[in-house]
Amino acid sequence: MNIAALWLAGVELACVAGLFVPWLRAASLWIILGLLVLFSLGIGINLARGSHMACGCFSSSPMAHPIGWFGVLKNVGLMIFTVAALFFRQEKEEPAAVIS
Amino acid sequence: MQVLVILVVGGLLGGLVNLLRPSRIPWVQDWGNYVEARAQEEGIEVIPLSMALSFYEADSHLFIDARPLEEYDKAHVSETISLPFETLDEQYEALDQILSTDAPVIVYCKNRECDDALLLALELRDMVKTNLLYYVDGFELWEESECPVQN
Repeated sequence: MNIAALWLAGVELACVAGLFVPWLRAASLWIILGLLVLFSLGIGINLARGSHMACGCFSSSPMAHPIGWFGVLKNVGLMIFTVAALFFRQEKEEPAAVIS
Repeated sequence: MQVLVILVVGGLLGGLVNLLRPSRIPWVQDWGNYVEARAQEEGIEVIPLSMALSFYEADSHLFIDARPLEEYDKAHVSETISLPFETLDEQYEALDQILSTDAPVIVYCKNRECDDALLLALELRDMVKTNLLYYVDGFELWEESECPVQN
């Protein structure tokens, strides 16, 4: 299970780098969207089970706030931005295709 | 194809970072035996340090120390009742105090590896004390984080 956690962290880093590389940008955005869905599901399932633990996403401090539905809401907001970035990217590419 | 590149590079990055960091985590670890996992299986609500401290500051919960008396005497969370699991059968006064109050209780022991508090929580639940929480991080983290302590 630790391998999965390490792999996920590495994928997040690779996605950040991929956003700066034109031919990896779309793939990075799709993976980011997938990760946000995954993380939101994980938080939602744990909230439903009554878990009050911190997700460790932004802090490993013992004083970190426990997970809450606001975290899910935040992720939904990020998903909207990600979809917008994907959609805007596609719109930018289409005019070039029409001209040629 | 690009997705595959990112997934593979990500995996290599994650592995490399873990190899290089001084506090490396094991590649494989069995989390199922951890006390927290067992508490969740038993339906005992688990809380971290941040929540335990909030409840302490609100003075809304009764804290119960499940560690041996010698450890409790050295230092414990301020205003806590000592109810060592190992001598539970002899602790009539403490048990009476806990069971007669309507206040919700928080049980804790030494750290995340110690299961005395969980076993105590299960016993208390069997005695019909159902509004209880298990503070999983234990006294060690409470003290390290400079939370209120009594000697």
